[in-house]
Amino acid sequence: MLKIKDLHKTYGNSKKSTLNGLNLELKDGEIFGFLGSNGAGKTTTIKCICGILPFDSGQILINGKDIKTQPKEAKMDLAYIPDNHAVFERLTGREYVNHVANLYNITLEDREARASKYLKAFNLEYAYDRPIKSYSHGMKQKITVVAALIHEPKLWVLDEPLLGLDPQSAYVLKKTMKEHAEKGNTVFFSSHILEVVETLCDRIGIIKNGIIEHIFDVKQIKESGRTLEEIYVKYVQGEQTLNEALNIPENSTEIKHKRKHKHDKMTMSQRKKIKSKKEPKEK
Amino acid sequence: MSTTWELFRLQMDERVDLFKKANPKKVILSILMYIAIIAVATAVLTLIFMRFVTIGLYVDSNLFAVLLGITQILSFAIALLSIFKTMYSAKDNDLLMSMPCSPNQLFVSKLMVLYAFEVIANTLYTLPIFIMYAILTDVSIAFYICMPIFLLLLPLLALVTAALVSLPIMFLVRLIKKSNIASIISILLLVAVFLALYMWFVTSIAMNIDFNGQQGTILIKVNDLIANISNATWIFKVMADGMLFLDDFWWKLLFMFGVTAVLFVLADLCMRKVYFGLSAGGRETTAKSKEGTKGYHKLKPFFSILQKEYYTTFRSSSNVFQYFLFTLLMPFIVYTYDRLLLSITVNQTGESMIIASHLLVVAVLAVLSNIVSASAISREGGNFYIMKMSPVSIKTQLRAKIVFNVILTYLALIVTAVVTGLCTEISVVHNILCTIAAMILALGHIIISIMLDLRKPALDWYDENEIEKISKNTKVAMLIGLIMAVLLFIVVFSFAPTEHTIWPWSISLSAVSIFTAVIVLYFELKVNKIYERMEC
Repeated sequence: MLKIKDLHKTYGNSKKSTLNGLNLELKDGEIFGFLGSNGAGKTTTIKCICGILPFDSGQILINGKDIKTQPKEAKMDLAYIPDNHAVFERLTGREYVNHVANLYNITLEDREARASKYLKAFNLEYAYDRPIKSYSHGMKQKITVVAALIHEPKLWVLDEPLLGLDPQSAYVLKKTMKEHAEKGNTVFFSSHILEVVETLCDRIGIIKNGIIEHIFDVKQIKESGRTLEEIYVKYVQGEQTLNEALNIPENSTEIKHKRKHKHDKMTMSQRKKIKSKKEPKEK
Repeated sequence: MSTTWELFRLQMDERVDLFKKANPKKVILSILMYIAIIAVATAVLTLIFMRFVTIGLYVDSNLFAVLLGITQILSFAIALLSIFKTMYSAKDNDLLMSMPCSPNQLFVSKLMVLYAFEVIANTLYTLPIFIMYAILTDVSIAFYICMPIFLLLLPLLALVTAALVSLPIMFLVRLIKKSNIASIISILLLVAVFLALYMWFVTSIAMNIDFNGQQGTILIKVNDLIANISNATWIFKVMADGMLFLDDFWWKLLFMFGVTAVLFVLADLCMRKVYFGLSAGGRETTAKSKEGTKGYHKLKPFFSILQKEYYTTFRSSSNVFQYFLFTLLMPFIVYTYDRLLLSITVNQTGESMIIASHLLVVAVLAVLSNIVSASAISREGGNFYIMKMSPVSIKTQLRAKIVFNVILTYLALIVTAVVTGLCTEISVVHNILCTIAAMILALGHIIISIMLDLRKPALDWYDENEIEKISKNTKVAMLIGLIMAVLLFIVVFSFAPTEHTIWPWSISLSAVSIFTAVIVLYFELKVNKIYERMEC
């Protein structure tokens, strides 16, 4: 469904690259969780996938269509939920959904049926004909979800989708994501709520310094007897490699990519040794 | 006092760099620029009035009273707008109210901010008038000594008057805001009243100008008009006489200070009580929740975007007047201008000048009607991702935005042409050709404006009004438009169009068509590349 090959991205005149040869392949019908610290390149990757940001080199294929050379076709299979609840506030919920449906050329019957289904699920019917500026943050997030699903996208990309949602709506959104994937579509989302990622995803990818360092199966977490939170925090703090935390052989989750520095080839324990030699111990 | 001062500084920091110690050069430069503007304005004003004196205008206390009245009405309007912006609908209200300060301290700090800005604005146009008057007449030395006091007192008077008037207006606005139509009708009524007064003033002056008279008598009848206005607006006459230390000035000055003091106490008492009630309240609860259109309507993406532009622009009355003020005023301004010009007896060259000038005014107003395009992308703000990721080509999306602006500008041009045809003596041929030329020019300018915004949009804003502060696109687009309009004027005037010869207009229309065609070509060739490179 989604194939990213050697993606490179540098913002403006910045000397530091945000994405350094990112590779990723998502299967049909899977839910993929995208983790990484702030500034690791999550949102940049997502925006490149959606055609919002241009990238320097590499290739992104959505359902076999290149986002650079066949943008219209690729975008027809794509939906995106941003993390900022951005919507046209002077439109009503219905006008906004109708506008999005027009952009995707959806039949009147389909937009009626799909909108009704999601509005009911999110309990938003009562406010559908009101201006969006009268909505709360959570309601804005819900109407974005309704609009995003109006064309039944094959790839649904969500950036921090649970921010601002009440527990009931968060539950409905998670359920909707699952149902969407069960239909053979792919859901790709970033989140800092690790419990949600652990319960919802089939696979998880960790991005660091603009490359996906590890991809692993959620089953592996269960088999390790730990929670994703424990594993992730130990990995981020440099106490253990991901494979050590998951109790699986070294390199089994690592993504092969071009190494830029010798330093990158070292294991976590080797890096720690060097670091401790460089920094004199405090008296 | 220190808390109030800190609150005052905090709010001023948000608006000007004056209090930021980090950049003293910038502060000095801003102050020098301010002084330079006053100096230039004084010089220009003095030269203009020196010329008026030679053609019969009396520079006396009546003229001073009328000029004082005009500046104080302007100050009152500025103060009223500032009160709404800084006191009632300020975005920082929520933040400041949560700070460890008493409501009174916050209230006083807000008044101090308002007063500081009122002094800055008022001095900018009042001081040149004072100096001009002092240069052209023998004023008392006391006038010079007291000038700083007047410059501090006049803004205070305007501010406290506006503060009192703002209270009933605020209640009325809240009532009217419940309906968009009522809101637009009310503002249109206000604009109509203003225009009626403006047109009365312009026509009265035009009627009293005697262009056939001797050099020193052209404006002689205007003096009577000024005296009548001065006597009718007696309050300004009293203030003017007091400030100029004329007859019974003690009583008049006492009256001026007394009125200011009484209004100040009244405004303080009234506003303090209702300020928090009017300014508190979140956006969610104050937003209108009336119902919109029902059902679904299938439209092609182009028309859907056009419809979205219409909804997002016209559902805010402030947007309508921010972007389409000149579009709405176009017929009135062109009519007034034509009336004044056509009252002058001219020869053949003068006739060509009148036609070219008519076109210049129409073209300038058409260009000013296009400012909505110079922020067409910026206004998307956080929603720009919808444009970027929708499966509709950028050309289609931008064409919809261009057509939206074209419809409105062309409508205004057509109405203006009808008004010109019905109410002035400009010939039908010239009227139609001027309108066509302005239409072609406006199309080119709309595309240039939208391309400017596409190259460097300001998408990172919280309030749509911030776009003008963070982006120079509107100013640049206006400047380009004005240059284009002046060039068109030069071309048309150079070829001296007449009703009976085809070639002068043919050349002018060809020139403007080629210009617009080049812009259209540039748009078609470059837009995709610019769009693909955009980072947001």
